[in-house]
Amino acid sequence: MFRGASRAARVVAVIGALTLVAAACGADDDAADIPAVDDAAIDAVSDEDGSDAEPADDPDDEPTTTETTDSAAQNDDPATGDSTGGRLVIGLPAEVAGLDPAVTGFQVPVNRLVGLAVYDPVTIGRGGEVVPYLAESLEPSDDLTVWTLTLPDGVRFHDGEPLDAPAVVANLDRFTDPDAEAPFPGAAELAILESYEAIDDLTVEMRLAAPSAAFPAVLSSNAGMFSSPAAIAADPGSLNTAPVGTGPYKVQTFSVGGDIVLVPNDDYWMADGGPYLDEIVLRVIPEDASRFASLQSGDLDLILTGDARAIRTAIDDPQYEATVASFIGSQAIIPNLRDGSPLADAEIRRAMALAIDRQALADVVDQGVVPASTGPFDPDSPFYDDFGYPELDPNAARQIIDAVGPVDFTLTIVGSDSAVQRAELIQQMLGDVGITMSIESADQETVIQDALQGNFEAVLLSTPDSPDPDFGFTRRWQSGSPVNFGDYRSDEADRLLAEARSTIDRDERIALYQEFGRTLNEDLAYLWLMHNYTGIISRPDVTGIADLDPQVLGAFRVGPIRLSD
Amino acid sequence: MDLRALSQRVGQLSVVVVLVTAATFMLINLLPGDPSIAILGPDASLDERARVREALGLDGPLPIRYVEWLGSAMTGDLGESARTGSSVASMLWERAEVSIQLLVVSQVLALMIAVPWGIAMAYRSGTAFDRVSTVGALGLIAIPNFVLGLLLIYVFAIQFGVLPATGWVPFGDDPLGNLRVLVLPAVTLASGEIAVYARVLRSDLIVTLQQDFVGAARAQGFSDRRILFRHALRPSSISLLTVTGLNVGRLIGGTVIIENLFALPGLGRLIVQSINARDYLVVQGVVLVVALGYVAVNFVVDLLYGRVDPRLRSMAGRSA
Repeated sequence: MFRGASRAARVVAVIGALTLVAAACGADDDAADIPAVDDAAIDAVSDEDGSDAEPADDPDDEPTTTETTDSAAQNDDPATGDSTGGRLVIGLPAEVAGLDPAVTGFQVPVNRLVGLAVYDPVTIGRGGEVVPYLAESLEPSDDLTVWTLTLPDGVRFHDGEPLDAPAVVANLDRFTDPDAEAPFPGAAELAILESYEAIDDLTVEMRLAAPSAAFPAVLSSNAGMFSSPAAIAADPGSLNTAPVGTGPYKVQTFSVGGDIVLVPNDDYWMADGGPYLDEIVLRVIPEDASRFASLQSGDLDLILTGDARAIRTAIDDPQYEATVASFIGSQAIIPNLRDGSPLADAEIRRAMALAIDRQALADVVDQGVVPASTGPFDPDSPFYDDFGYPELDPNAARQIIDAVGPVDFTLTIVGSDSAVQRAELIQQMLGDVGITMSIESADQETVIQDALQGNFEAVLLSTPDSPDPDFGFTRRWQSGSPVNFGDYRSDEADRLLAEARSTIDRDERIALYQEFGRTLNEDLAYLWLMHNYTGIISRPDVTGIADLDPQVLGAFRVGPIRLSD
Repeated sequence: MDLRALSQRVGQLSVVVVLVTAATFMLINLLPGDPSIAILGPDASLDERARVREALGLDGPLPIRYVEWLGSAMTGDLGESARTGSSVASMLWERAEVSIQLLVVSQVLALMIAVPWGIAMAYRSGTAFDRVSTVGALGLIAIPNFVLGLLLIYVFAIQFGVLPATGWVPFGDDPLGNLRVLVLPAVTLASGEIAVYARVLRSDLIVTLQQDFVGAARAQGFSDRRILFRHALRPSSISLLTVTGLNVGRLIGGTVIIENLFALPGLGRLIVQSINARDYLVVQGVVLVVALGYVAVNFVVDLLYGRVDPRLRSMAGRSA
């Protein structure tokens, strides 16, 4: 055949042909072209006049944001075609599994982030409280078993359907459907809801199986995120990739692992809620170094990161704005308290608490971006108090071990870089006082499986985060609770949890949870290390971050975000 | 190739695929944990997770579940991802595009550099050029992909800002953008292969150039160039062809390190994440694709042996 052509040339030709074939097949049908900014979007943005320009509250470690976001300066005449919105590219640390609250868990931060752009949950966490968000109001009966949800008038879903009481009922039906194909991720939280009915067009009455002051928090996650009933009826399977909510942005393109493109909801109902941007692109970059590099190279405008070094670099560098969101959650060593376990003895746990220099851990592993933890709440939380956790005192620790005898146990960790670093440092600190700790590392699935079965001596995990402490605390620390890994049992703790759930009085609840924190520490149920955190690093032209109300584990609302010039 | 040999080959392919997918199925189902963590989050109780397991049909005996999977796979139904609910086949299709493009571009790049370099080294074997090249080649092989990738990102994306650090643009959306996002990952991936290809070609070519028929051709006054391209290069390509074939088969499954570093939504990243999340059906799907790809590519390589070197023709026809 081609006698003259060399083999090398032929190989190249074949591969070249394959490239063309692959490229032709590669034309992605789903990805739409980047839309030209349409006039409606410009109009919507330019309608936000200077009247709602909010002064940016500067978190401590942010240099002052130049207030060029007064919208009057922003609002160029649409006729001239100047874009007032801009395009924001966000780098995410993990893939978004989907966007249907009936199927995808919104306790996962990245899912929550995009979910908050597309849906408006009934309630939201703000300043340590749970407040109505989509709801006009959510009022309890005196005995806290009947909650009345009142909806605002005139809210529409992205497909134009009205948000009304029947729509809420349709969504709740879907979430509580026992024959649903996919398990509802919020089922455990929503289990307390016994019945519900639409009282009138904008009011839904919800009855609980038991009194609970924490019920509003249930509606801040999956159970409170509603889709259009028309969309549910037409094609429920498509909602995971083409959601229809009421939120400030709509999904234009969604693919797992690829870019997610959001476009503004021009009919967004919330005053001062945005949307202010023409487009938001969310890109998944699992590697911390690459994500930060992309921010540095200008490919991204904002990133979420758990990498303490990157956060520290950004805090110190005026080129970037860094906000560190920390939450209820902490990293902790969870001891197995069952009989026969090496850490069942409270004195030994006390020695460990005295020996571990938590501040040093926070400084070294987390670059000092968060404080050491002394209890279940972080210093910014209204629930924070002196929880009476033992102060560092290695000598006292040594004395205890000398009296008790040598101690030997294994710490199980999920093998991430920072966990390994923490574990090794702790091993050293404990070794100095006579406690021998071995480290066993496995992947998250294995660790959690073992933890649930009580198959461990000590495990390094984090405590859950949520806008209200009740649900998470009860599952972790109530006697006999399913996720009470170490089998902590305390009548006092149980009583405090039950009381905190039964009163709506905020001050009372705060006092009860503070007492609870002290009780946990008296019993040394958990050995605290440092608080969880997520860094939100952005370029200075991204504003509105101060209004974000960091939600679960660093997710935030994208509604208030603007780009200044 | 005759029909008997062909059907023999197809039979072998099926056996390989079944063995590989069965082994994978058993292995991943033996890992502790299940998709429920990915769905419910870490704070779910054993009961809740058991309910999810049941809903996903994970409670049946392994061999039966495997046979069911195989049956559906043969009709093209690879099931649905436990993590995202989307069809495994469509996920694979989307991600394969990325991995294959990366594969093709990086291999073409590697060959374009390695072939001339290998030839040059062979012709100049023993000289300073050859020795320096050897050191250079070993250096390239020795640098870990990850390190080189980060360096390239730092230099070209951050310092000079001429190429994107991460991200993916499909060819259909923007051909030029697609090329731009492929440059750094392809170069990183190619770097290790260039050295290997060049060295392999070099050694085979040196041997060929010492053969009698080359000496005869020279005696007849043929130019070096003609000898190289018409007589020497083809028979020297056996090892290169083998190695390229193995590489292509391997890289169909994507490379996790490169895909993670450059945030490319390819098969490599998909399979690692799916293993971590215990998304069994996706793992099966990727393994199936890789196994099929591997066997198919090496089948083609076997065929090419015959074309490249007639002395091997009967071997190719009879390939065992």
